[in-house]
Amino acid sequence: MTTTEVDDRGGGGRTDQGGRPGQGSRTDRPSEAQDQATRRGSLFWVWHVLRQNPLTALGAAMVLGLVLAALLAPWLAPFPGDGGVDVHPKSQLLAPSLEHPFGTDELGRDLFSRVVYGARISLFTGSLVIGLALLIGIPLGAAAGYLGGFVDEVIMRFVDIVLSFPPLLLATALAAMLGSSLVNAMIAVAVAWWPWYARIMRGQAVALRERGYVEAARAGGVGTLRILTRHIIANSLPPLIVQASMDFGSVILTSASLSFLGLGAQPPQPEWGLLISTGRTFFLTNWWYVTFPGLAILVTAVAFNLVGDGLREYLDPRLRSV
Amino acid sequence: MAEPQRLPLLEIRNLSLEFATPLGPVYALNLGGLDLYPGEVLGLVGESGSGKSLTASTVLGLLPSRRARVTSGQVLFDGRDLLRATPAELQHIRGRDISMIFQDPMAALNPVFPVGEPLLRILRLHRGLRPAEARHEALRILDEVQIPDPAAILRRYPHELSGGQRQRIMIAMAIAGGPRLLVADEPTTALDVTVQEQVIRLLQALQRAHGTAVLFITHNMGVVARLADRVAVMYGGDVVEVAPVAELFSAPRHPYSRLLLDAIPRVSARRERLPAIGGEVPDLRRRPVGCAFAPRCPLVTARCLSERPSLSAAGAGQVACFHPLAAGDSRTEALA
Repeated sequence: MTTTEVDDRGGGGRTDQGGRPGQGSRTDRPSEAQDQATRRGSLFWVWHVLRQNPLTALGAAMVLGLVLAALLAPWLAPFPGDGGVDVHPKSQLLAPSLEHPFGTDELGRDLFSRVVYGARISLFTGSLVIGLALLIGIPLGAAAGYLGGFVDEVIMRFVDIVLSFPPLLLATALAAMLGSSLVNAMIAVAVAWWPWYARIMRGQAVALRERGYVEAARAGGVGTLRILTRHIIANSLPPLIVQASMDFGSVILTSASLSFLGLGAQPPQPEWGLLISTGRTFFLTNWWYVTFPGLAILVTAVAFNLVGDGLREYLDPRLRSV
Repeated sequence: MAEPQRLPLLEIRNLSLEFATPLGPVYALNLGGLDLYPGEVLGLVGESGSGKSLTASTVLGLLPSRRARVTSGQVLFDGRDLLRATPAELQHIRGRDISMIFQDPMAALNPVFPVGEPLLRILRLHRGLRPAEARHEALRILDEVQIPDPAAILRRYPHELSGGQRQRIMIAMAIAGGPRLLVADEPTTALDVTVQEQVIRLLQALQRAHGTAVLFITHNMGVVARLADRVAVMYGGDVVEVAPVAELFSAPRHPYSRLLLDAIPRVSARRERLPAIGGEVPDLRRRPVGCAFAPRCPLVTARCLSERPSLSAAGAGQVACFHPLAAGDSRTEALA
């Protein structure tokens, strides 16, 4: 790293070779001036990564747009009531126009308004499912990797069993068992998803367990729980964050699939998967009905994947030792 | 200086430790006895694999692998057997009564937290200080380990510090709990020579100021000569000789100690061949029948191969050998 190794008090190697006039004050202490140069705020690095990676910047812009759309839906949607139960029998299945950019559905509702409101559902679903999956996967994976032995065997064999099902199939079966509702669909997807995080976390824990600072913490009388949280989990977050951000798109897609199958969101919720499901009946005559919700899912999945790639780079500490 | 009539602070008795491997057990430690008195610095030297670090880890109850198993013995700290202490008791002792300085100060600091974090943690955990008091004390300790601008350092991350600074932080953490025993596992090995010198001086000053007993593990004989009161030489998982530092260097009694001292490289104008000890390091998969050093010992006799020597008094120290060398021994010629 860039901090100069000059402040080991007590002589020895402090001479600065005498070849850099005007920097004498800087070498006395690695503080203020040095700080300014090397310890930039995280915003600087976010900006740096975005500038280096136009694709990441694009993804970030798309995610930002989605979040804004979700937050500002009542103001952004030309027909806010269409996100819910309003019906307009006179304007059924209109093709895209200036008044209805995405056209209207079979009940005359503005599809643009419904897709914008759908962003709320999708982002909420994605965050909650990923959050829940991390909440289950991280502690189990960390315990398995750090404690090892019997605990490891039991947890990881269970993980293997869950992973042996295709996630969509498992989520479908669980959602069917729990009953059709958006919340149940989210629970089902989270249950199918957590083993991935448990696996990543376990791998990290196994690697970190033998690290010097873990040993030093144990030698310092630090308890197991604190070692797990402060040392093992805290140092495992980068790969988990990357994976989670990449999974965001897949989770939204899976949830939409459940809704498509009728196991998730229920009418009149403007969930994208459900919109596609309803719209497929009209696909041959009214192309816009399935196309725009489908594009919304695509854009969301792509956006989070691009951001995930960027995060991987941002979180790699080696990058910052420029 | 050691006063042998005092009760030892740390007593290791007949400690046997083995690793379970697919090829059968490896008998890594077979330590007859080792005492450490309050306030003394005991150097623990020996070649790689002789069990120095393993001994230290065992004292702290930090066996490096779950395959390691202590099969017998006692490690008495202040009369209390650490091998039979519960995990909760051990956790209480570690960091407070016994603390450790590690070899690689980079690896021993968690990269995601500022270095002040663990230091403050130790002060609150082991000394029961409130946050403001802990901070005050942390600054005092950092000053004691001669770190300039302690307030700024507390907020820094490990990768922003130099190797010497990191090791000073590690030392600060080790003394923060006010330990009676400090285990230093090659604390200078990962540092460059000038910083090494500073760290040694610092350790020496702190040891004198606090009267802490130090178990100093190293393979650097020069460091031992400067810091230690007594030296224990390990070979093949056992202590083969313990002696006051001056005596060990002037008149080693165990043939291995002698050969080890001869193998220290010296800077001289003449090109010399560096003396090496013949033979191979012992195969720890076989439980040694006689003296572990016998296969490599130039003075070996039939008895050495069949019977295991135990530590017995020799001069001011102890040696585990049937044929210890005496000062001016004519047989030393055979070793040269």
